[in-house]
Amino acid sequence: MTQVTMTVNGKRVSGEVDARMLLIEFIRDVAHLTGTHAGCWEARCGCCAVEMNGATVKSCNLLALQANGATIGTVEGLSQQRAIPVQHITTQSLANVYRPLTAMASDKTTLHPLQEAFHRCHALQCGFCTPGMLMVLKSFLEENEAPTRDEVRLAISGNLCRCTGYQHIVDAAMMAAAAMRARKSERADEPALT
Amino acid sequence: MTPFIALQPTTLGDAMRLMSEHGAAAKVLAGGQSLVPALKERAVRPAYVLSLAGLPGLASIETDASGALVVGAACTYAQLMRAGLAGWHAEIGRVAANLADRSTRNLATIGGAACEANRRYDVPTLLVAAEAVLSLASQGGTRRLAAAEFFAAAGGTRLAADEIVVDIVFPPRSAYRFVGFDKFRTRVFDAALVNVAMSLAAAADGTVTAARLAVGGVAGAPRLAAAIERLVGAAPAGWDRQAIATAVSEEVMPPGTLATRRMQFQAELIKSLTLALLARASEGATATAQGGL
Repeated sequence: MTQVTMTVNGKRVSGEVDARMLLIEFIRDVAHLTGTHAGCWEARCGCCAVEMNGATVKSCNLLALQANGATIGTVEGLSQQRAIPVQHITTQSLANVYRPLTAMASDKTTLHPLQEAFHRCHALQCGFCTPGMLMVLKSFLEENEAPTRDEVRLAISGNLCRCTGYQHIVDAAMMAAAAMRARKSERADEPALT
Repeated sequence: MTPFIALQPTTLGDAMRLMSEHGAAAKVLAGGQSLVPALKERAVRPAYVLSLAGLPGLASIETDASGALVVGAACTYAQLMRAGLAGWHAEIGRVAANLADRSTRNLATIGGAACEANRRYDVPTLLVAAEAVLSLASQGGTRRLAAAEFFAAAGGTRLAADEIVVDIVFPPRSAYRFVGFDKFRTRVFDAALVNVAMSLAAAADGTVTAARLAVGGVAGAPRLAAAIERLVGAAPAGWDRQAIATAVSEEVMPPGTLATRRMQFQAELIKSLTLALLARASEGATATAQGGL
């Protein structure tokens, strides 16, 4: 057993773990952040992508030990959400709710541009691949603000989606890129605080 | 995974000592993009896993006094593609940028790919064609081995149990006029079905003085094709590209031995990839980066 400490979404998380523990197990079982999905466990599907020290990695494909001391960002860190504590959201608990986003107390104004674009473009159906898609596209769009559709497709080549046929995901990435550019230029226009 | 003890040395000396004690039962972990899947499948069951993460200086990219490019074994593909390498060294960055997927490139290392020596990996073929030299360190000292000798013909490497690859040295920019790599894969995230790398040295007028071509994916180790030496003594205008590409393909995969459809396809691919590289070299398709011939 080894002591592993990392900063997950700005919070220090520490645990006594087996050398064999994978980063995804640490995130889901020790940090209790289940937004990151474990799909294939063999680094193919990309559902488990998280940000480690600013670059995305497939968290099922590295040991928690390798991430000791690292700064991890997961899908939960993309936006302020869950102001109302929700223990567990199930299809049943959402069935009676007219606006699921309200149920999660996640107002659209607090969503990350990518999340907002995914919502608008219907870029998710079952949603299983979405956490990985969001994390990979976030790092990609931060690096390339005005990508072409082909570049977006290449960027998510390590992420599999079995529902959407990728079309809407690419649409969403393009919309988010535009939104992120607009947000950036708005910030640049603001007078500096002196 | 079967249980193992994680070793996390913080100096190269410690790492060497641990390898001399446990080498035969240990696996070295750099980025882990090949090792971790193998551990999960129990394809390897090491008693010890030695991590290189704590060792200083293994992830640097430097040019030494002779102009040779020294790439630390724990350099990731993401680092290589962002290094802004110039001349034919830029091809190393292009190979790194066109491998696996974004997330994997952030962890996977060039040294890891060399040690894994999977026949379908791109790195071994590039190293053999560019005549890179690997530095293998152990407690007894450091020995240097050319890539062509490092990869064993039957598959795997000639790395001794107590050795660690510490860096990979590529010849200086002046050594070649052109280095090119091309591959074929079914889907963009697949490993290559066939990959081909070629290096050419040329005189000022474009006459080829040395040519080397390696084909990966078809045998245990990258195969060198002597047929490419027909380029020597001729300038691009005098190349019979079609005949040379056919000769390369027939040398690496003789027509009579192609027992399966896959092998027939690979033989075709070798020919078309070689043709593409010859075209790139002669037409200076990448004139700005490589100068062409």
